[in-house]
Amino acid sequence: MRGEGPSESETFLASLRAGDPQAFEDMVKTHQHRIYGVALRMMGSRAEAEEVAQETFLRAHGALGEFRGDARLSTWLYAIASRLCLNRLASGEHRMARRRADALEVVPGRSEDQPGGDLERSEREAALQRAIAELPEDRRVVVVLRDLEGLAYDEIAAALGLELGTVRSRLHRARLELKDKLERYLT
Amino acid sequence: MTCAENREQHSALLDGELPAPERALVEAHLAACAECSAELARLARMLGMLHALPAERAPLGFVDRVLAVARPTPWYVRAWRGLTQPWRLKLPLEAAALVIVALGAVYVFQKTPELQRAARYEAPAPSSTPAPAPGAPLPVQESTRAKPSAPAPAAAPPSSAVSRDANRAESSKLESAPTAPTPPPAEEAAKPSGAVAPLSKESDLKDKAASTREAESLGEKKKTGGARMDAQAPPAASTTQPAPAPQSAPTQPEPRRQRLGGAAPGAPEAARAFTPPDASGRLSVGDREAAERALIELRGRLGVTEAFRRDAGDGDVVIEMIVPRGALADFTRGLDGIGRWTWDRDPSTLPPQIRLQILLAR
Repeated sequence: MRGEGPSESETFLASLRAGDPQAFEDMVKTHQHRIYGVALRMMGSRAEAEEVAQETFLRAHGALGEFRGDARLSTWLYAIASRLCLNRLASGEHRMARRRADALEVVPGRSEDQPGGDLERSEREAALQRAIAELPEDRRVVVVLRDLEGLAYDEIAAALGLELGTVRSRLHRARLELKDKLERYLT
Repeated sequence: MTCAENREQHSALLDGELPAPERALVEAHLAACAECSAELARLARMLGMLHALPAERAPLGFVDRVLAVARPTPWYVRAWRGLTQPWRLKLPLEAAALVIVALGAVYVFQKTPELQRAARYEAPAPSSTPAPAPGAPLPVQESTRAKPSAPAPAAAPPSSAVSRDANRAESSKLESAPTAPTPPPAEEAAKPSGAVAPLSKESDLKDKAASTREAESLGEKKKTGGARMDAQAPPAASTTQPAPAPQSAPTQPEPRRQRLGGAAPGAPEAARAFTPPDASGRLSVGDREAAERALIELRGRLGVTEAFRRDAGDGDVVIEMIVPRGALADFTRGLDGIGRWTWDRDPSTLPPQIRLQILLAR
């Protein structure tokens, strides 16, 4: 998993469950970028991504007492964020807004901000971002969790409440679709 | 394994998620199929591009904004929200609960004072009833007490004042017999002639004192409620319906009943009559006027005060004195000097101020 988080020791989890504000702050600081990243890949908008990420932590704050520690804390947060994204994307309001915009907002890669990024790489990343954004939502979330966040198949299955075979199948279909769209960058 | 089946496994193969037997089959096919190998290479390059995507970073101040929203709210705010939200559901329920509580409070307010007044009204009844004299016919006394109390609940209106009046009216019915111009025949018939004769002098005295107190209380009731009873009851009722009269008639000899009925004690006397004196006795004298003068002199000498007096008929008088405990012995010696003093009721424990009731009689 990309940038594995803080120690999820029993002491830390106990502090979280007890409502320790410092523990909660540490959790937000540790997981903010990854949760925001998932939300951004899924929602395609920075504003919406921040809303979803914020709501993810607030829901976690309200439900920390129920977190049993069966899964990793990061997996639990991914599960909350993924479901929030899918629910928002499935809502009629969001679909109508998307239709009016007539196109998904292409999330610019951070390499553009970096002085060393060359034009070809920027173009390739933009194409990749667009290809990801054009994936069906149920496949997109699997690709994001697996290829961008590094979750294992079983973790994705647990987070999304899917069968392992369904995760494997959706992931393969999504990758083939991406490969087809990015064919000219793969030669 | 066909090429299509082989390519289905490429993702799992690249992720290392393929079980060993399947992995061997896939790798064997790849070794023999250049097309599938090229396809796997392109997929691997695409995955390389994906993995090379830089990680997104949350905007500046994101943590602060989350913490500001998630900051624990004070308990009173949480309590208020818990009480009122969702307001569409909870406010109507709470309003209904308030209405129910208010109705219950009004109901209790209306009912409880009446019960308390009823209890207050019932309480003096036993104390106003004198202790039965040793020779007195007990069953008759019970009947005199039971009959007036029987109609009380039916006659008790909600207001305490009215219920008190009604009670007085009921009680005055009992008194109508002695004051009636012609005693009911049933009273005469029921009067046990032998009930007076066998009484000893002492028991007669006790009976007389007890009936004196009873007469005081009944006299008070008569005074306040008699007019009302007269207005309600037809005059013939005292003769044609002698029920109240015989209730008290058999308990007392006729002459005494008439004496007691003739006495019209005031309200304070009646109030005092509810509380029996601490001690009582009979002072038999030859000359009452001389005895009165001597009594006044004795009182003045020993610091005894007269609480009240009442004419007991036939020239007798009941005087209640407040005697300091230390002066009781001297006072009773003085009484012996005035006449023949006989203790009627001598309590074993005496309070600092003794209410001594004296029947001054010839």
